[in-house]
Order: sequence, then structure tokens, then C-alpha cells
Amino acid sequence: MAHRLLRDAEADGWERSDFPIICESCLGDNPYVRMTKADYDKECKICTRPFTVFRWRPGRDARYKKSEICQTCSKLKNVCQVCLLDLEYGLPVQVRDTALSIDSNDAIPKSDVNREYFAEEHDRKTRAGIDYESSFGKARPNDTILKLQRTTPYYKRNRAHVCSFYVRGQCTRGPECPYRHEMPVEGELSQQNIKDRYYGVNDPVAMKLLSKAGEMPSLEPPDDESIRTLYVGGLDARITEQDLRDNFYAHGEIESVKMVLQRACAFVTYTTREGAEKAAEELANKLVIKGLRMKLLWGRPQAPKLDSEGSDEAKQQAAVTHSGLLPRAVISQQQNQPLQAPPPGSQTQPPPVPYFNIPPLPQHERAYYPSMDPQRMGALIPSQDGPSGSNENRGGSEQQHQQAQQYGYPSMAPPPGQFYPPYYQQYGYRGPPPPVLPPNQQHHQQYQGPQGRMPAGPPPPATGTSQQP
Amino acid sequence: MPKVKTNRVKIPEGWELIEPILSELQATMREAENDPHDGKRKCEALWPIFKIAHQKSRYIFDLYHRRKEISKELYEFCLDQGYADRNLIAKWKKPGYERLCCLRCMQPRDHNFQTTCVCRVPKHLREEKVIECVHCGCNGCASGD
Repeated sequence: MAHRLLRDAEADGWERSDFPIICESCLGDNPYVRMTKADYDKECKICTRPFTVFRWRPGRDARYKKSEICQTCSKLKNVCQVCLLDLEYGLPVQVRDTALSIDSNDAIPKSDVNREYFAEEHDRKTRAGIDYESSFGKARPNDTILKLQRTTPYYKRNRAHVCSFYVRGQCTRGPECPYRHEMPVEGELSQQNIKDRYYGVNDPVAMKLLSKAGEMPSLEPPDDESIRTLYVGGLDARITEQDLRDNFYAHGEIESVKMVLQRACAFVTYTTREGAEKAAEELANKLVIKGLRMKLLWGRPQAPKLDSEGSDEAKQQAAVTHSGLLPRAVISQQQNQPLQAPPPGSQTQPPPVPYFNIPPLPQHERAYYPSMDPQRMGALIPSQDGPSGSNENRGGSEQQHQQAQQYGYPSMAPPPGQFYPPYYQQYGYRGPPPPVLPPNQQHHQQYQGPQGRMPAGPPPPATGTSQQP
Repeated sequence: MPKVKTNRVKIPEGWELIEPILSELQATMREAENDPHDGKRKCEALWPIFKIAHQKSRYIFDLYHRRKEISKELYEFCLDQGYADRNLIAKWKKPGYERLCCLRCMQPRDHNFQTTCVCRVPKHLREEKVIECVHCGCNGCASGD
């Protein structure tokens, strides 16, 4: 093997870099990171050439991580320098290559001097700016890989390693021991080898993932033919109705989109059953909006509108348990919700579109901000809102003005008339608002902000209101 | 043979009172130096050395600066003979460093990112409550706690 003396860094072709090529999970959740850089500190685990080692701590409860392979090797396979998973998809090399049918293994020699030579040549070409074909930029993401990819960073891999003394029962360091005092998880997956993982050969994690991918269940259409609604779970505040429409319009005509931010979910109803089925088939495991993976399921059969809460709940619960199409988390949330005090005002709000799994809002919360009110966030049916809204408007908006001034809403002063009535008209027929002020103000401010209609008044009172809680 | 002038130490008065304790401390230091390293980490083997050195210096510092029981002459004698660390005592006279464990822990040049050792951080500002600093095994030498 070649001597590793630092004679002349450039002549030997040793690698220097300014910043590591790493994935989000390895970088950590903390926006402030202190990183040490050590030139030629260690050998690359794959090509054994010296390279610049970066070392940092990815977050408060993490161990220190450092780059394990050199940048040349990481660019050849488009992987993170630390975890050796793909930079775009977060998948092992073997999985990504099989899913995208790339075979990059032919060109890369794997042994001894041949490998070093190849790495150096490649490095030299890159530095000279010669455009080598990177197959990773051109690969189109296909269905399988979209299903398999990791959409959120996974910080569990940054935890400290398991304390080997603890495993033997001999850890004398006690509470100050920085390693995890847990029993290690044994099994097939623990025998991993960095070279195997890098070259995409014989990788146990990859094989498990691929076999799981093969068996991923597709969304079965329910027997009840009248269901044309899909439940979309895992929503976030950033996802708007428009995003959902954009994603779902391709499969059929959308009758309505109802967003329930309370439950981080939405219901998309198609005019035709075929449209719904088509959407389910196409989007089942692949729906990713703004980086968040959505869960797609069939919606429950429409519950008939009832006068009283009680029977409504009972029916809903019965339907839920029968159809069993809802994830358990939502069912348990539902069961918690109806236990609250029955809303007195429920008779006054006619729900224009039936909510599939949502009981009417508990009235003591009395949606003070628009995002709590499904009528605001979902499809507004103008025929119902119009007349009732305008009737209440005059009475309600005055009330609202006063209350708002009480609470110090800044924008009430200059152009109140134009902006606020459209928001407040809903509140008009709710009755007197409850004395819940701080969250309202903050939320309300935040809600108004993105609309971009704040007059110049806001900043001083905004700071005032935010200090209150 | 050439005339060899040896410097004979002139022991100041009051030495007999502090001598027993100092000899005891020296003896523990000797023991710590000769301890086998089994079962201990590499850095952990050095911790008793730092601890005893701190103890010795502390004793002499307390006698002179706090309790004022020995004369300046005797104090300087102890420092010259190596029973206490002059530099460490110099730090103890400064505000904020009254409980400093060792000189390495507060030296930013010795640490990554030019910080001090974690033992210098007060307990209420730290996340990990129980620590043993890697240099001297200190649990926390901030003046507040």
C-alpha cells in the first residue's frame, strides 16, 4: 500500500474540503452546530485515502458524529458521508439502486491499488472540472422509491451507542455514563459492514426494506359503493386546501375538500366513485406534500345529520367500530371529544357539509380563530352563509369591534370595516365569546399576518399582546 | 574535590504545627502515584493525583489567606518547597475561580472551540447534572455551587 506521509498534499492528491456532504438526519435538529475540521485526519473507510474529517454533535441528546468516508467516495454513490444513505431519499445504496435500476458498481474497482487509482483519477477529473456523468441527477424518481423514501429526518440514529459495560453488568460510571444503558437489539440487522453497505451488496437492512416494499398493501376500495371520500392524515399547518386540490384533481372531479386542522386531517370527496378509486390507487403510499408524507385511507360512510349530540356520537362510534376504516388514533380522539360538555349552540350551526368523523365542535371552545372553524377552512357553501352572515353582520360586527378593542386588536383602528366583517360574521351567530384571551390574540395575529393586510399599526400592539401570556 | 556549596533549607518557625498534615498528604499522593490502573479508565487513573494536589494547595491557602494562622515566611517556604501549587492559588484569589479544580479545566487553549471544561459550568446552567470532568474528575467547580 502507498505510504501515508504528508509530503505534498496537492501532489499526492489527498482530499481537502470545506464542508461535509451530509444528510439532514446526520446534521441534527439544532440550527446551531459547532463543527471541527481536521485536514487529512483519517482514512476513508472505503478507499483508504486521507481526507478532511468533520466532527460535530447533531443535537443535544446525540453523540458526536464524524465523516467516515471521503467526499470522492460519497459523490460517486451520492450518499451521506456519515451514514452512507442516499442524500435525496435516505435509503441504503442497495435499495436505491434496485428501485431506480441504476448499476454503478461496474466501473468502481473494489480492491487495493486499483481502487485508490480510480478514486484519485475521479477526484482529479472533478477538480479539473471535467464533467463526468453523474447518473444520479438524471434518474427520475419512480413510484417505488417514492413509497420507500424517508420524508422526515430520523434522529434516533444519532443516539449514543449502547454501553458495553452495562451489557455485562459492569458499568461503574453510573449516572454520568454517556452511553445508553439499554440492552442491544440483536438480530440479522446488526451484522452490517460498511463496505457492503457502500457497494450495495449483501446489505441486510436493504434486503428487509425491499421485501417490505414488495408486500406493501394497496388501498382496498371499501364495499360500500356510496363512499367517494378519501381520508388524508398527517396534515400540517403549512398544507392548504389548494395543495390538496392540486394533488387530487388529476384523478377525478373533486366535489369538496374539507380540512380539519384540529385533527391534522382532511377529507377529499369526489363526484364519482371511480375518481375516488383512481386517486386511492395512484396515491396510496406515495402522497407527499411539502415534504410531509400523508396517510391515505377511505373515508367512513356518511353519518346522517341528527339533532342531539348523544345519538350522533353513538352512531358515529358504532359506525367507526363497524367499518374500522379509521386509524385507531383518530377513533380514540373522537371518543375523547364527545365526552366534553355538549355544545349548547350546536343547534344554531347547520353544518352544510356532513363531517365524516368529526363531531360538532365543542361549543365551550367556541372557535375564536378561523382555523378552528371547519366552515372557514373547508368548502364554504355561499347560499347558507350569505343570508345568515349578513343578518348577523350588523349586530355581530359591532359587538366584535368592541370586544376586539377590549382585547387590543391593533388593526381595528384604521380600516376595520373592510377587513374584519368577513372573518367575524361567523362569530356573530355564536353568541357571546368566552373569556379566553391570550391564545386568541396570538393566533389571530398569526392568522392575519400571512394575509398581508396588516396596516401599519400592528407592531407596537403586537408586542404588547404577545407579552401578555 | 571542588568545594560544593549545598543549599541547606532554613525552616521557618511554625513548621512543626503543619508538618504532620503535610506529610500525610504527601503519603497519600505517593500511594495514588503507585496505584495499579486496573479497572480504571486511562484518564480516571490520573484523577486522584489532581485531587490530592488540589487538597494540599487548599490546605496551605486556607491557612494563610483564610485562617491567617501561618506567617508569610512559612507560606512562601511551603510554596517554594512544592507543598502547594503557586499558580493554582493565584487563581483562587480571583473572583469566580474560588473553587477551581485544576489549571487545565479553565484553559481555553486546551479545549475544542476555545471553551472551558464542563466542570466550570454552574449546575443550574448545565443539562447533564452529574458529570466527571475528563481532566481531573471534578464534579463541578463553579463558584456558585
